[in-house]
Amino acid sequence: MDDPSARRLSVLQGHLRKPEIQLNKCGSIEASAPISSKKTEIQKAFPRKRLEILSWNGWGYKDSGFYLNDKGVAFFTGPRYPLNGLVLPLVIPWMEQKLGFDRTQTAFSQPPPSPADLPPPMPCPSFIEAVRPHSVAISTDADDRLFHSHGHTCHELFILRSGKIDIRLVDAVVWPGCHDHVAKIVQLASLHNICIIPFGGGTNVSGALECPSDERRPIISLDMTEMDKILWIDEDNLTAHVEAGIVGQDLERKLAERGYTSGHEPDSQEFSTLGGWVATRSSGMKKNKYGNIEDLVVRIRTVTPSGTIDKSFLGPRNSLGPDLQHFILGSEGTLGVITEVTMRIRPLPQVRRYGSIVFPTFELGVEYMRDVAKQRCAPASIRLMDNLQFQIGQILKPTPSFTTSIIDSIKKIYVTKFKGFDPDKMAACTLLMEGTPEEVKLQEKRLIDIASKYNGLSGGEENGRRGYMMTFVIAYIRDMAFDYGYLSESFETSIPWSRVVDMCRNVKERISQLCTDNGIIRPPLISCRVTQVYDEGACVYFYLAFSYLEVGMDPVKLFHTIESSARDEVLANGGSLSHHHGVGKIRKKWIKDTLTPTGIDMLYAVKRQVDPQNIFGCANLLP
Amino acid sequence: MAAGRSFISNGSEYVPLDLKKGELSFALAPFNPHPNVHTEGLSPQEVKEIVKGSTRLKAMIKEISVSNGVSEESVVKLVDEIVDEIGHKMALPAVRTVAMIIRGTLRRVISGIYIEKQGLEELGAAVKRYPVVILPSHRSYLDFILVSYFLLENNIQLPAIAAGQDFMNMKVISSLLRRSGAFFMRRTFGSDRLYKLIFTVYMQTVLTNRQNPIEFFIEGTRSRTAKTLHPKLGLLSMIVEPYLHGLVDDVLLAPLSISYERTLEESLFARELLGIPKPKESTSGLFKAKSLLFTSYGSIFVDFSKQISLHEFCIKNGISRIPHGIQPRNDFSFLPGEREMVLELGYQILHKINKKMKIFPSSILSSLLLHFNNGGVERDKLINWMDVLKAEIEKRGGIVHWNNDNSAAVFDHCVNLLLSSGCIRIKDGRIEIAKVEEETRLRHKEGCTVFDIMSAQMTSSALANTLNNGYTELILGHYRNQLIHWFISESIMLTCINGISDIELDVLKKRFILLSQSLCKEFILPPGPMEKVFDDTLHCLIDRGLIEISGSLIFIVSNEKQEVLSSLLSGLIRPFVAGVWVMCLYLESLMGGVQSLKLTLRNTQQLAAKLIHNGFIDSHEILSLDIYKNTIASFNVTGILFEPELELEGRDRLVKVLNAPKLKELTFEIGAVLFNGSPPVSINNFSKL
Repeated sequence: MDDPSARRLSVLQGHLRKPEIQLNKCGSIEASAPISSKKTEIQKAFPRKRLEILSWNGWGYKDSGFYLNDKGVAFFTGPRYPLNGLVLPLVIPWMEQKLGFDRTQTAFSQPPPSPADLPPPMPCPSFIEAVRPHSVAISTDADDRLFHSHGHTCHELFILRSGKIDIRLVDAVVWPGCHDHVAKIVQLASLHNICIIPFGGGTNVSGALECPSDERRPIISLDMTEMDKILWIDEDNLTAHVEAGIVGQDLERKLAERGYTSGHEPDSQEFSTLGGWVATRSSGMKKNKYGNIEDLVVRIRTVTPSGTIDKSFLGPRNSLGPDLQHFILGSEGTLGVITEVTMRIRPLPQVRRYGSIVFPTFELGVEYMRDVAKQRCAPASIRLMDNLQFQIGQILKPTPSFTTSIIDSIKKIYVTKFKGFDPDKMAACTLLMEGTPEEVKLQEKRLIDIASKYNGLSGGEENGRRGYMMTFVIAYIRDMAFDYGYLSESFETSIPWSRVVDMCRNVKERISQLCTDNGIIRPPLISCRVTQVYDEGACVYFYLAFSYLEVGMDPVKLFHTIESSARDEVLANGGSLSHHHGVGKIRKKWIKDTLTPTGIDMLYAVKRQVDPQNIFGCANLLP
Repeated sequence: MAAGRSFISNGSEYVPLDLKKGELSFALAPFNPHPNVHTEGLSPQEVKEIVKGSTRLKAMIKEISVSNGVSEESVVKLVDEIVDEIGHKMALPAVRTVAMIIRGTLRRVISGIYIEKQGLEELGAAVKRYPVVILPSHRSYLDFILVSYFLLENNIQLPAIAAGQDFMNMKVISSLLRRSGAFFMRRTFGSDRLYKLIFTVYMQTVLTNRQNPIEFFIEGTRSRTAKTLHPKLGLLSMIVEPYLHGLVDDVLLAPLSISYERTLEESLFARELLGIPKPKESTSGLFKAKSLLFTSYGSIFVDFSKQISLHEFCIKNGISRIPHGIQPRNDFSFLPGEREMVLELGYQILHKINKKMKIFPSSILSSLLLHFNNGGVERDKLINWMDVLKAEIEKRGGIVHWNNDNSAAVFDHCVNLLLSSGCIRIKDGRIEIAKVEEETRLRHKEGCTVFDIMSAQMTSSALANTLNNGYTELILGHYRNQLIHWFISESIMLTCINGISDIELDVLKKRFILLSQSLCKEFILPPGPMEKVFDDTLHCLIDRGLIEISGSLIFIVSNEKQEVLSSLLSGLIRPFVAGVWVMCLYLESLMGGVQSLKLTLRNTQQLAAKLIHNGFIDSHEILSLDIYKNTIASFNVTGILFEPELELEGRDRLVKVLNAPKLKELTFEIGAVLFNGSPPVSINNFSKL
């Protein structure tokens, strides 16, 4: 369908077939899929009362997670996931051997607190009354307040699970329905001197959603998830104008119904929102093909206490002084709230193909990634897992013995070549290729050809697919680890190519030394993967887990010590403060040294001008 | 762990190396140390290939080829040659062979080699995980192979050892050493950027590969005087660089104190200090050195200090790696503060080495004999003073090795050692320094000048006798020097007060600082500003009851024992102070002229000989050329001298007085200190104000 007029016609016909197109309360047209389609289909990631289906003290859906059965065998349950009901006989033996896991030592979560256990809300009746006409809903319920007062850092979840919830909570939650609602609410907040913390998916991992403990004003959580409509799609220019509260999976589903994709796929995609992506400068797995969030947005509407920041054109690129949108990208809720975004969309790819390559060592794998980046032939996604993650990938499957599957399948193909591979050293690279069948075929061949220079052998499509499928369930593992006395966290950085290998090794060494120094007896788990490639460097993602049960120190303090030293080591090795998690509160202390005091003063100047009352008082980013 | 009974000494457990074990069982003992968890296990040849292929080197090859207008191939060929000249070829059989030769030799002359157990275990643990640099003290050639030998015995990964190029002239030995893990370094890199880079990259490749720990001598060379030398920072900087660049997460520095009860090379060293031409370091020379071994040399102790984590040291000194993150990795340069940190690290390492060096009773006895130099000393008096000095060293934190509870037995043991070195004798039941008779001329008339002395003639037999006595005293000095560092600033202060009934605080301070500055290259002085060192030392001496302060006057405590102790402590450095004075005198005679360093040293030594001959100075140690080298270096620091560094090879360096008034002042003050206010010789009659 290359004829634009024919395409427009078909789109119009599509619209006409949809009787449900309706004006919502804010007067915009909702272009969502017909409600009358199959009833079983999910319409929205989660309801307004999130706790109906989301976990109160851990990741994701409350009906999903890893558990141990009566025989001490791990299994995964989660009706929304293809891995539902998967029994994983290898997990526990592996953890016992590598991490000193002991299933008799438990640290299960306390039950959810009763409203009486939580600090009462700071009353702000006049503000609430003033806001009521400008919101879809308002809540001061304890469970809503609690849910809107945390993100997903290790220490936030640890506090929730501990039952001693002595943190500052938001005092009310407000759900605006459209841009104008937001504008009015912000205006009223200025009038009543109320603090606003915008809230999207609640998946933040930088402490950005924590309420500042010294905030004396009432704090309102501005829950954006009712603003979840695609306001228009422009198929001529492949852009869509979308409300910022839309959750990733809803956005993708709605676009897919029209044959499109945003291509933005962060690991939190099931729960995080478009506005959250913009506010934290997020990065998606498939950025090689689609770009990171800053490459995807065309126009951002942001409501600030001084007014709305917007632009009056949709042209690609412009030379109009510094790009003001970059003040919003990564502003982390300090300047205002993002209400609507015009973003690029792409037609759904004809073919999506997975692949995997195994390397004798992580170092060779990195050399391979570097070469792929140099030749600028990276597929939509390319990730390199270190040996530990390779092993974890192998045990997260229902097979009876550890080395079957990938290793066996490769052995079968490469009887002789496989000799140099040591299961305790090898690393695996997963590939995701998108495009036309021809493009994908060519791309795959080229990637495997390059791999042979680094003794890499193709591990087949299935292992690649499993790798990506694991992405979404892996976040649930932390909750099970909590149950057995392990604290775990992930952290990331971006770094020049020449430093990748040394940094990975040095950070692992430093953490393991720190664990020993702090009296952690069981061996910690420190693992990393290279998740993004760029011309000049890469993004490296670390996982860290250790048992605190044998340590006398306060676990939260212990965790901070280790996490902070790990970041010091990352920085000392030439890594950046963050690739896509953001600064939030937990990385603020480094920002001045990273960007120079003068640079930070520039940010302060903007903050003072745009938000002189500090209505957006989340206290993120700025030291 | 090697067989043999371990024992506790001064709170540490020592394990003896089994020198008696049969050759066969030694040769066949299994050696399979746990490799470092991060090593790629490269062969010596593979290390060389990595060096040759490094981006840094490749870039320089291009640059040199362009700037010198030569083909890249010819530069590459040069690089290959240099890499081969440097690189080790470690192979186990060679290490065993060398260890066996050493064992065979030592077995006959050494009563035991004792390794501190806990330190050894910590070293063994460190090399399994970290890049490790072993930094031994350097008092003997034996150090080179001793470390490899005891690591071999204890199944710990063997070190790659940075060795001086002098060894390369000895064909058999150099090949054997190379195969034992030695890699070779030219004495001076000069302006040869290519060589420097290749050596740097080689050393760093060995370090970051972690296959073998690296061993080098922070003092750069064997200390002929047995005093700790100032640190050489070149190799240390090369170690620091990969850490700052994030190539390794840490480097563990393991200071090692190897204490010899009697130094194998004592007589060679004494001759070298006197400038009596030393045999070239050739294979035959080393075998000759071996022939010296057929007497008793007592025992050898190896002590470990707590390893220094370079990472922690940098944090403590406020050095961050972050600024290097914005430099390309193939282009390293030190940032402000980092060189100072390396310097500080060098001194820290030496401080740790020093602290663990054993003080043997022979050092104490030598100090006493040199001090009570007039005629012989009775046994009882010596034993008594040995106990006193031992207690003083221990008060200051030194570890004295008393191999017997009975001080008399200890005394007899070290008298025997010194007897076998030939530098003492027993006459009528008194112990005295073995001397040849010298006919000492009477002093010149009062107020003679340095020119009078210099123009006086000495017969060659008189000179030979003087030198001969210098030789004996220098051997004893070698042992005394091993304990000076425990007293150094106290000795300097006591020297400034000595012989005077009382001294104004201001005058004392001025003299203390002058003298400290003049000795700053001779000794390693306590760190920090001179004023602080002065205050600390003053209070230390008051606390120890050696001096008293009344108003602004300082006195030596007038109790007989304390007075003798004070003069004993100041006497420890008297030869060096006298040396400074002689140097001053000579330089004054030189005033205005420029002269080569070599000639300056020789003439000063001659002047020293004549001063001894004329009876102005007793100590024959002032014949040591080393004192004058160090004094010139100190004077360079204080700005008295200007010594232009001439880059041209084969040209002697020049000496020129830069600050004549300061020199004059120093001559006067030191003369006053040495001779109770009235030096017997001056530059001319007017200078004696």
